[in-house]
Amino acid sequence: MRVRKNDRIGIILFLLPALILFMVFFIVPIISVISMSCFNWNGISEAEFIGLSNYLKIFSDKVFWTSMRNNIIWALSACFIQVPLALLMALLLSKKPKGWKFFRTVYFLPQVISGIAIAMLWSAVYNSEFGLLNGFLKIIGLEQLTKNWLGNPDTAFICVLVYGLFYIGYYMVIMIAGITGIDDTYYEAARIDGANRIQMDIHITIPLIKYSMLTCVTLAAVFGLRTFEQVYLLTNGGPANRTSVLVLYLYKQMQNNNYGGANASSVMLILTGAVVIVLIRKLFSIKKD
Amino acid sequence: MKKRKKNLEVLIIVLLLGLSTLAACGNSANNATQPETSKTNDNSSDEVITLTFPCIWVGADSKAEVFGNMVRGFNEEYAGKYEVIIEEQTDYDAYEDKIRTLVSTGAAPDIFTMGTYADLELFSKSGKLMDLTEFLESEGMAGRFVEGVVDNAKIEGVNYAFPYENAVISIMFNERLLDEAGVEAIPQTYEELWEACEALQAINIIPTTQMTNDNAWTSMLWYSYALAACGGPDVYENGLDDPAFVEAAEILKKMFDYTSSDAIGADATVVNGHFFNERAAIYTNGSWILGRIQTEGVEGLYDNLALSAGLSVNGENGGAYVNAVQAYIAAGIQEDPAKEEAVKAFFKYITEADKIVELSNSSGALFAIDIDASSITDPLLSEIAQQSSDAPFMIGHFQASVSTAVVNEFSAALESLVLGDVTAEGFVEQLKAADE
Repeated sequence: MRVRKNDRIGIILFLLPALILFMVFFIVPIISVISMSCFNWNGISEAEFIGLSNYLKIFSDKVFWTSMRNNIIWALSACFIQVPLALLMALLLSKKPKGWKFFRTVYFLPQVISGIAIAMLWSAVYNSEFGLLNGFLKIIGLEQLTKNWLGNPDTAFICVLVYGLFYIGYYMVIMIAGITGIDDTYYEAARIDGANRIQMDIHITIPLIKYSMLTCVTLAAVFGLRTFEQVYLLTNGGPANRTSVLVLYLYKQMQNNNYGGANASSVMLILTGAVVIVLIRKLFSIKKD
Repeated sequence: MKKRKKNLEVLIIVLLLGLSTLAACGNSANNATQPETSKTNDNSSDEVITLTFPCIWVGADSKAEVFGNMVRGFNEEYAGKYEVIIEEQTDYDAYEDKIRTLVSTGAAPDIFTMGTYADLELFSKSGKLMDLTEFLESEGMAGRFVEGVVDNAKIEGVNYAFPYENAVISIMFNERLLDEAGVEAIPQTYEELWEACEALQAINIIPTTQMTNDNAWTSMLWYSYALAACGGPDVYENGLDDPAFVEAAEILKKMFDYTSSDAIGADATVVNGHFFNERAAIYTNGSWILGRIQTEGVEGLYDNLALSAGLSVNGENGGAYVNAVQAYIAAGIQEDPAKEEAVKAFFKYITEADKIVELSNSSGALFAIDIDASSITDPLLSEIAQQSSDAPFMIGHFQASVSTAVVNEFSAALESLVLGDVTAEGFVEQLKAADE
């Protein structure tokens, strides 16, 4: 369908404000980040051009690679645990069982509660001296399993990850919206053919909300890559940088007044994000074919 | 005709959207620059000169009440002329981030504080700090400070800030818990400390309080005391190459054998919680914590406290004290001389000796302002002042004596040391690597 000239002007005019804001607040800062990543700058003195030295420095820093690995694990767990969990909940709640509105609210609640409040709650759960988890283990006679969950290198990252996995409400709502939009006639036809609920979910619901799922997976991966709040509040990257993530890594570079290094880390974060998004889109389009 | 009308409608909607966005920005911009307007007001104007002061001495801080009263007192005394507006900031790390960002973007606040000489050195390069040298040397100001402290805060002969709060660090023992464990005398050496720790641990009392989060503040103070014992008064002279840094790391590692199970990852709240609630017996912090011990500690804790200077190693370097400037006060450079005068008037007001005495007695903090020591009414604070002045030598705490990068690396390096990832030598190497 050809767009008429007058409509085209209208479209351009409508897009213009958003485009200007996008350029000013997104494209220009990204260009600035890329260029500043080649400078040695403490934020106060004059910046000195040092080429790719900041990149070489962060590549030789094992904390950077630990952070990168943790981010990838975070993004993968968000895509393969968080999103399927959200899908499961969406499938269950879309059938409107008894109390579905209550559960929908409960699952969405973490999204609207302050992250600091939730982090304090979890840090109280994991505390080794008076935490809920150790208390529970003691009650059921498993005292030998009690430990400093957030201070132990073997458990710290898993604990932080588990906390993050509870944020399924956002994806669940997106998928419920997708499910609500499916025409009832599909299900009626399936029922006539003798399909049960699980078969209807697998063969009708899931394929028809594929694009909602794509949105959720993309968002989950992006949120996983830019994770900061949970890690900063629960462990601050510890113990011994075992739970560090890229945003925390670049934040610490900024704390050290190493803005060049922080910008180089940002560039790596942007590149990783771009690669992950391309891979996700490829994955979904392959299935389509 | 219809098409033209449609296009016109589109254009109007777009213009309205654009204008509303700009109007929103413009509105906030106006608000943000309100103090800026008064900044450029000339003297002849009757408008009150306002000074913004992002401040950490608010909320639960032990200085909050009296310092708040001081600011109110200043505003009343100069009513209609000057007004200091406090911007409350309760998180120390967030405060440092905010100040660093403001200074680097050329928008240094009218008045602000800094925690370390390293920050002062860095910010002085911005050209955005007011030169206070003449003011601090002027009549009425020169004699207010403890001898030498203002000169020590100079950067290439210029005072961009003056030292205000002094951190005088003491080791604190809960005597009631020591008695319970059968420890009869306050340890004077590390060997005696380990014995006391064993005795406390035997009756399920946490011997020492340690932490690794929030720059590992109290553990950093323990490390500073260990440095004093291992390296003596000149321990910082050779930088991190001094073998005392490795020896002190071994002491600190051993301390983690006698601490709470949540020490790795613990922050100041956890550490204070253990000591204030008598779960732990031995603690170290600045004198300012006395105010909080009185108000937040369990009943009788304050009366059961015994204070001590540093411990000795192999009979050497005992009795040392650890101190450092805890807060420097600086001002953003002002174009308007009237506003500069307002800043100076405020600095004069908050450095008056009688006000400092009140602030000390209420908070337990000590200051770089010269006051009559006998006017300190708090017995423990007075004891700290006495012990520190009797100390054979004093050293700055580690955080105040090394670069920002080393300060920030300390926490991760300490966790690596305690978890056995690195040896004491490796711990020091990790700190050195951060410095490069």
